Amino acid sequence: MTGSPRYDGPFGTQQAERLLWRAGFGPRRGEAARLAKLGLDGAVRSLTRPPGEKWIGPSPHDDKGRPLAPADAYGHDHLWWLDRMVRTSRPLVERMTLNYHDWFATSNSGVGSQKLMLAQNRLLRRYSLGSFRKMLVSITANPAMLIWLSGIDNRKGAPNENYGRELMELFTLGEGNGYTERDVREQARALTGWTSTWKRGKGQTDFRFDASRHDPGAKVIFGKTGTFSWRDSVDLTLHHPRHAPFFVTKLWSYFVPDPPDAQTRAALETLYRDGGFEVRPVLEAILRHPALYTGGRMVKPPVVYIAGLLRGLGRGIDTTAWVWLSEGAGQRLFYPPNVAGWDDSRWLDTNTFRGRWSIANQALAPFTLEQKKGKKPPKISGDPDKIVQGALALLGNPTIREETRTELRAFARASLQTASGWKADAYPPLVANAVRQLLAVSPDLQTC
Amino acid sequence: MKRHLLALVVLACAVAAVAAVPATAGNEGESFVQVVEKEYTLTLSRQSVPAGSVSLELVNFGMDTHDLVVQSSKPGVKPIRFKQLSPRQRADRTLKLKPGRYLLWCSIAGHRQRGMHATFLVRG
Repeated sequence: MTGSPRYDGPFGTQQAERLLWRAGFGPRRGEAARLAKLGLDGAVRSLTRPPGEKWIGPSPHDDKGRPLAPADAYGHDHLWWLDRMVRTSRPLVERMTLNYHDWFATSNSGVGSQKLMLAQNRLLRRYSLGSFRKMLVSITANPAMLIWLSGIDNRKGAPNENYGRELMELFTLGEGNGYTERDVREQARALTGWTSTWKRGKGQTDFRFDASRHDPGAKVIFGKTGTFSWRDSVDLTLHHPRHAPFFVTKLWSYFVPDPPDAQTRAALETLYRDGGFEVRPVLEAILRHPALYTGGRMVKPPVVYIAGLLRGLGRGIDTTAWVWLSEGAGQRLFYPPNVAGWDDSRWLDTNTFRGRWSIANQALAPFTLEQKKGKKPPKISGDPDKIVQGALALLGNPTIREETRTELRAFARASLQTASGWKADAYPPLVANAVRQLLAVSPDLQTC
Repeated sequence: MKRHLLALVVLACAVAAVAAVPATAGNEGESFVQVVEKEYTLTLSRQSVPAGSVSLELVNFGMDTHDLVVQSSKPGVKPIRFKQLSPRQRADRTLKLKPGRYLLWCSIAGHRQRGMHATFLVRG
């Protein structure tokens, strides 16, 4: 019907699990099996057309038990959003919000206001499954973006090219893809007029369009001439013939590691154009595509990895450690490295992998099996199979390869080989802790 | 043998992490305020808070070193001083603040004069 290929293989727990990771933050206990029962279409629709939001799990707090203050305390912005990822009943909404945070990458290092960053985050969430046109119009006039890409410094007679350039290069067309330096300059003129007021103690406030700062003269953009406004600037880029291919390829890249084939891309472009820049139909086609279920695996972004571990464990946000741990793995929310967003190729390098090891360690910490002073060690079976099974159960029974299971079992067996006498009781909990850690950092759980 | 060692190292890490997770103790009456400093501005995440326990956080988003002085406008009250922070550093302190107006400024020579000051209201 859509022209985009549709997956017609079995849709069981394993496929549902992958869908929940790609379109969210992984399954909670039993969630993949429940989703599988809906079948492919039902499962996809439950994600793209979710009912009202519910929060599942314990409320977040900092290390001192205080409620989070996302606008007023360093790191609480990160924790606040991570909590949404962990507890939401609408994972695709949250995942698309994260994708758009990377797409329209804005950093608080340049904005300097968690409050404005949170307002932008609400905007990204509002349009996460809706109209890309509305998203683009809104983000163009968004206060955090107006500060970040110098929109408030862009005025008649002194145009600032920052936003006009990125609008085409990063948000809608791709670098050097169908525009010239003259288009950049003319877009900047069309985008003039935004301003704000600086108030002592409050910072930039009262963001508004001031016609007296707008350049009303004729501009030539993509070969068309007119007295274009900032809204025209958005529409001109959306209707540019290179936009739809850019959009579907970029959106696709958040869900499938290999680029779409020509037939798929053409079908997705048609869906997007004919749908009036609506994102949901394109998303549904991507989530039903065979490449999502049969293609190669993707590395989980650090926050997805963290949120997924916590969802699997049933643990909520109870420590600020997630801020520096996530940063150590390469992803601090609200602080992308630059306007191009995060570099996915760094998600699993020798530096960031160290961060992931610490993340797994922190996630598992409250569940550590340990001997209390003066007490016997916790009773854990010395059967390697049971130890591996126990680790899987703790982490929500994720699907792992037989190869990984064999390795873990062999590790447990070798570690317990000399466990006789007092070691017979003391070693199994130690080995169980080690197997949990090794499972959590295994390639099977780092990728999906 | 190597594997035994690995298991024990893993365990040691895990135990250390457990120790790093403090016990929770409900403390909902505390207010948070963030002060962002850069050259040469000082902005607050909120302009007023109720009297009582206030977690005041200073973040240096600038390229120079900055500090912070918090001074009640009532005479005779000793000022509260935050130490100097290098760029990208932060510090926070929990203060017991009485109702009144407070002045905040960076005390590094010339910074206050260039605009690094603000006022803040603690409501009764």
